[in-house]
Amino acid sequence: MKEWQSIKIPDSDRSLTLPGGTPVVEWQGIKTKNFPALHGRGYFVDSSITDVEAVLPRSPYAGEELIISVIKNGNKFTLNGNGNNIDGEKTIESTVDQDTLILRYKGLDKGWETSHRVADFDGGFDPVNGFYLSKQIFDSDFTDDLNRLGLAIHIKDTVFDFKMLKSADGSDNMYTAPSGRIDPEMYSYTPAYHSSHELRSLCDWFQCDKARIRIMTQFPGQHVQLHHDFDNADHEQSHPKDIVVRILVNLTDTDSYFNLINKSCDMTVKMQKGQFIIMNADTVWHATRNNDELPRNTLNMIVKWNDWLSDITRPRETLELEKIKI
Amino acid sequence: MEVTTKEYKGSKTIHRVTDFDGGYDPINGFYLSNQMFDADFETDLSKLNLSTLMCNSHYTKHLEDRNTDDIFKIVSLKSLDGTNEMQSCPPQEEKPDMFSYTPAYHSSPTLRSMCDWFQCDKARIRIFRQLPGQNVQLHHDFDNERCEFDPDNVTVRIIVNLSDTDSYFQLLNKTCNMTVKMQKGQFMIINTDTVWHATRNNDSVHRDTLNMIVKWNDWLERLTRASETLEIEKIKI
Repeated sequence: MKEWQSIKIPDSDRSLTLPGGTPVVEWQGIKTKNFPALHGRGYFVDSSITDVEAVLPRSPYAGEELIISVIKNGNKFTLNGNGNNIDGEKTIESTVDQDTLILRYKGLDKGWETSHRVADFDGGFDPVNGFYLSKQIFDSDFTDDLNRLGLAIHIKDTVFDFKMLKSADGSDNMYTAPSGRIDPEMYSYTPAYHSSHELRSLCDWFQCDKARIRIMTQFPGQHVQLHHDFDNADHEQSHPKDIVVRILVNLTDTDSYFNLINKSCDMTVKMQKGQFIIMNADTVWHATRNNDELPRNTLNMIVKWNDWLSDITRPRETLELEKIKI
Repeated sequence: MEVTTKEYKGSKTIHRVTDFDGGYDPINGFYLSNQMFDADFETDLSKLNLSTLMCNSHYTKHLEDRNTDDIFKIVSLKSLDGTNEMQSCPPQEEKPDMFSYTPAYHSSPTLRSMCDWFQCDKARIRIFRQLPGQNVQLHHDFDNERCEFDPDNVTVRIIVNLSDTDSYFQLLNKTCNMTVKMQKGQFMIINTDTVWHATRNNDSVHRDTLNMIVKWNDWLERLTRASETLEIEKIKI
């Protein structure tokens, strides 16, 4: 088992990081024109000037390995199997930067197989069954807005105080929801929404149809037991346009936790201030606890799943924390 | 506008935890703990002198390509030959009895206690020091592929965060995508064949983690079982 590799990218201050199990190869320079790709070698590809094609060996032996890292891909990079299949195809194409192909020849029947690419990964956040804890973190101070809302800091024997930013009758204090299907058009923005500059910008950053929007203040020492909700009870979950999810943005830096559990994962997390969760509250069981001496505030939006949400939750090859200024 | 409101369904009993049939699945899922170790790791870590560690001579080839900044420094607490420096393993299944505790393990009372707290059979145990600004791309490993994915012989990794730094793990499986800044002393349990993972250390100082490759058992199953009430358990060692 080989250990981590970090290879300096030529003419750059960046490095390519490869995980354990990756073959050790002899790295070549940057290829900007068509080239033959050989066993035991690694190639950096830059297609920013013109299309580039790499041609694999015509008669490889089983077990041959090579690596191609597309460091800049302005045009198109094509990998040509030269008579052998690559993941079942005669050729494969890449049009994204920083796409790394680790190739192994598995013999005549299987041909070349790629591994470890994000393109090989067929999972990720499932809005019907799963949860998403964001790599995006809002870099804003919500204190002034929250102070103006007049939320309580303690009510005896009570877990939460609420303030509505979008409600069934457009008022700040209408906590409950109409029965039946959740329809964003049945809700109106409230005076609290219109008077809260930062919170309004936060809501508007999410490009999706929103139903109820609440600020939830969880009082010190309070907890909510593990449970699920019923947002999708009257919705068709098999239809991607009819799924309802909740977005919870953590607005304060407190010693407080969420526990989210579905069929395979169990996560207890102290969210970062500005970090958010997206979850299907019907299938993801959830509990909370505030161990702090201060209240914990969260923005809670009930929204319809859409392509924009699908895009922001899609996995990327490299983990980058995105600080969002609003 | 007249509004018909519905009763808060949280008052019903049908969604109590006894109705819940999910939870951490060691074959397909990940677990991020509600247990947090409350201990001084720094004293042990400072004695391990990770900064001067050399890679095992068997694997010097990759050093030829390395940038001056490595991603990780590693010291073994349990290794194939019982030395601190041996990080690698054979290409077959990692069986716990193939590995021996190292001098680093025996000289680190807090880290040793933490390893021993987990009541399961352990193969390789390593301290990973992820250097500032370094990241590892999304990938999976092959711990269970080497065991032919035997459901009765499941291998998981336990990763305990030993530092309080601005650093992140990303874990993805078929349904969930989590980017998390772990608490110091918090741990995760993952099947690294099915849970794709990436890391990033955005801090100006290194991030240390304890990484144990272990066999799934009943004790771990009880440890990770869902509870009705979320309690953060501080573990003094």
